[in-house]
Amino acid sequence: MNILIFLIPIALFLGLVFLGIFFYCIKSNQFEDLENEASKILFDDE
Amino acid sequence: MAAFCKHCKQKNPNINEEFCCDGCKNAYHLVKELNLDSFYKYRPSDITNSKVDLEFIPIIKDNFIIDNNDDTSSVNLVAEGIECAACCWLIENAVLKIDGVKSVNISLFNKKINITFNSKLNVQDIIFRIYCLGYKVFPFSESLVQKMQEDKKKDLLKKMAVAAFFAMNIMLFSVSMWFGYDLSEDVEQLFKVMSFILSIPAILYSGSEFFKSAFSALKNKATNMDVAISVAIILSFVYSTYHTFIGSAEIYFESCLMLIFFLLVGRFLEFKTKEKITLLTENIILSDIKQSTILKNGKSEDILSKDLKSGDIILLQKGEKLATDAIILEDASFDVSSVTGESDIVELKAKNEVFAGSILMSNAVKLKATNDFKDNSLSQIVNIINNSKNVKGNLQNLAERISKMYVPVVHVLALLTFLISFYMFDISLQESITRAIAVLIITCPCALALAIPVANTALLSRLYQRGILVKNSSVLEYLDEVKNIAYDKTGTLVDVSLKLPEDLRARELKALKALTVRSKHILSKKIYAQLDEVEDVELKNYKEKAGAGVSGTYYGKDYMLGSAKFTKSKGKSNLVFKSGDVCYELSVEQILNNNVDSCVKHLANKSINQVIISGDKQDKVKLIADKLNLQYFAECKPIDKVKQLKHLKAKSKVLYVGDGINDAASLAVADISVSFAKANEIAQTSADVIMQNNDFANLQSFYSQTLDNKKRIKQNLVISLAYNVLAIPFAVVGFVNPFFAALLMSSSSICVIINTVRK
Repeated sequence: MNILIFLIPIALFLGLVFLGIFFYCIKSNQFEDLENEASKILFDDE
Repeated sequence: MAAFCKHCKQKNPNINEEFCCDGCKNAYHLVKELNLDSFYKYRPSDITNSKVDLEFIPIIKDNFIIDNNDDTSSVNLVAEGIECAACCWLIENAVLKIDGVKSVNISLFNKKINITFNSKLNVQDIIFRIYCLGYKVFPFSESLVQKMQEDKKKDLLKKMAVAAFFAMNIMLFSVSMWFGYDLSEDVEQLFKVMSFILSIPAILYSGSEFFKSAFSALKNKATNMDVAISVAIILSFVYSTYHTFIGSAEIYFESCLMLIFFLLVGRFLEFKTKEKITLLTENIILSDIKQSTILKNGKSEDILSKDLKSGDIILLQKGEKLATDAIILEDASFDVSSVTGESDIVELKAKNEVFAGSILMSNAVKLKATNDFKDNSLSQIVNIINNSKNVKGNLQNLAERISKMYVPVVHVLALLTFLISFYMFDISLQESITRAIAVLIITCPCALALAIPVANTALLSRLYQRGILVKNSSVLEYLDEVKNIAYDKTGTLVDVSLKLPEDLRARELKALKALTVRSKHILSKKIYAQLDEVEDVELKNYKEKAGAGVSGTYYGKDYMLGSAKFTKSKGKSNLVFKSGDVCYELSVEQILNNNVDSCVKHLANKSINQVIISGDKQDKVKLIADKLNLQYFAECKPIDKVKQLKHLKAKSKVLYVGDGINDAASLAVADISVSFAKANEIAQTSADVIMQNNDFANLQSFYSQTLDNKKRIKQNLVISLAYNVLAIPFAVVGFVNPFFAALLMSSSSICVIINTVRK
């Protein structure tokens, strides 16, 4: 069970990284408009 | 031959052309010129565009432009007419093609546009281009309330994320402990300690949402749902902490965090729906962006209406709305239906006073303002509205009422469990406390907390799709208590329109339609609106004489529409349709709005008392009241309307439907108030519900759907309470393990959601 000493911190660290990214996304208003940004990719650039 | 306009996709009256008007034609060519015509391909087939209207382009004042200190400036706008992602794409690319525009960001969710551009560029060019495409934009400055809403939404999202993250990580340990094969004792202890450590930040941060509200409730010597939630969170945490370090029973950290997470999801859903609706209604009707034209030193100048001062000379165009009370300097006629409820157009001689909100029906006139904008009759009504808001605020919502009963019951039950176990059955102190806490956790109102917001959110979005905006969602909870409905007449039950002579022949109708198609005159538009079913034809020699009338030839016969002088008629009416030598007089008439009849009947069958409270003349109101078989009160001033409503209110809750400035105070006083998108802004701001059009089928479906939803909420409450009641005996006798508790908790929430979304 010694492997837990590595696995638990790694799992937590990875989770925290994603939580951090999520916080960054909220801060930069990426969740403000989910419709427009989602369909943008479907239109060609002019 | 095009039945629909190529640009706006609305019905096209000009059968021989591809476009319904020059505005759309120009917009189409502009789009082509900019190489953006894939817009028409991207646009979803059920979306229509607004017509292009270049008449009232707002002037963006310098204080709306933000200087970024690096040769660039930004401006925030809010747009009307953006319906789909293709619209955003079109505006974005069309504006980016203007030299000097650096970036464009558009939000489809709240219709905000942020543009960054070279400071040398005139912002008016950008605005003009957007208008040319058929969208209306207004300068936007974020109000404090909106800023707070935005922050609150972000805050809820973060709290949800934190709760979910830690709950999932703790679940990792919990699942291992429940199913783990051959876990050694020290590994299990490690898992318990890890669960404890991980739950601390989540409870402190995500749980603060409930602790704060519970604390302020307790400070005011009241309880609410959050008190029960907080007690359950804190107790389950304390209990689990005890068993982590001292005792040896199962721990509940993951249930505790899942509870927080589920509750936050419910709260976020409710918040987001509300936010969308307030944004839509409040932004577009920002009153301080409205402009007036004044004469200063012989030159006309556009200023913001709120800067109007007493003594200013206002120049009002035909069809424009007066922004403040004023004395007219020349003879003119006004539509005052929105101010007093009077349905006739009033003709006024020079030096008479007209009130803010009146619409000019004759040619441009000069007026002298008698009041500053802030002191005008409109602002006084706004004051009544603001004062009556508090009256409405103290209505409790259903969830609070339930939790008021529920919370003490749960606490007493937990206490009884402890006392009975300890004193009557001689169970150990520790085991007795365990059972009491288990009761608290298992009865925690998780599904109960979801039951109402989820059902309301679903209803709000269903209504929204039908064009019914519910600004104040608490009205959904007491609509079933309404036993009185009062209607305004003018603009609500009836629309004032021009009555066409009944003996017109088919050919004359066609000619009349063709005459009114192109004319921009407000009366022509009203006539045209009634001729929807008449075939479109082309006139020869079509001529429009400004301020007089229009004329044309069809099958060799001359037709004219215009003033008595223009048509050389000798009758009384000032609007005449002349076919050859025969003159038809057109008169103002009241026409019932769509489905008023069936809606009134439907509500009468539900034994709801309905009355008309109108500001119009006795005989006009009686006519309509008799037609609908309703009681009526006529010639009511705004303050009389409020009195009548208060009288009705004494008996039961009252719903008021109205649209004018004279209704605004009544709308604010009524328990539930309904207004229309076409209605006056003040009426809209004080209404709880806004209907996109005057079709009363909408009112009927609002009524029936809301009552249906109320039934569903009750089912939800029964489901969630049933779960709790079933689980309590298990908790009382000490059969509850964390796995069972978690399973029960989430399955009750899922049941509630399924019951809500089913058709």
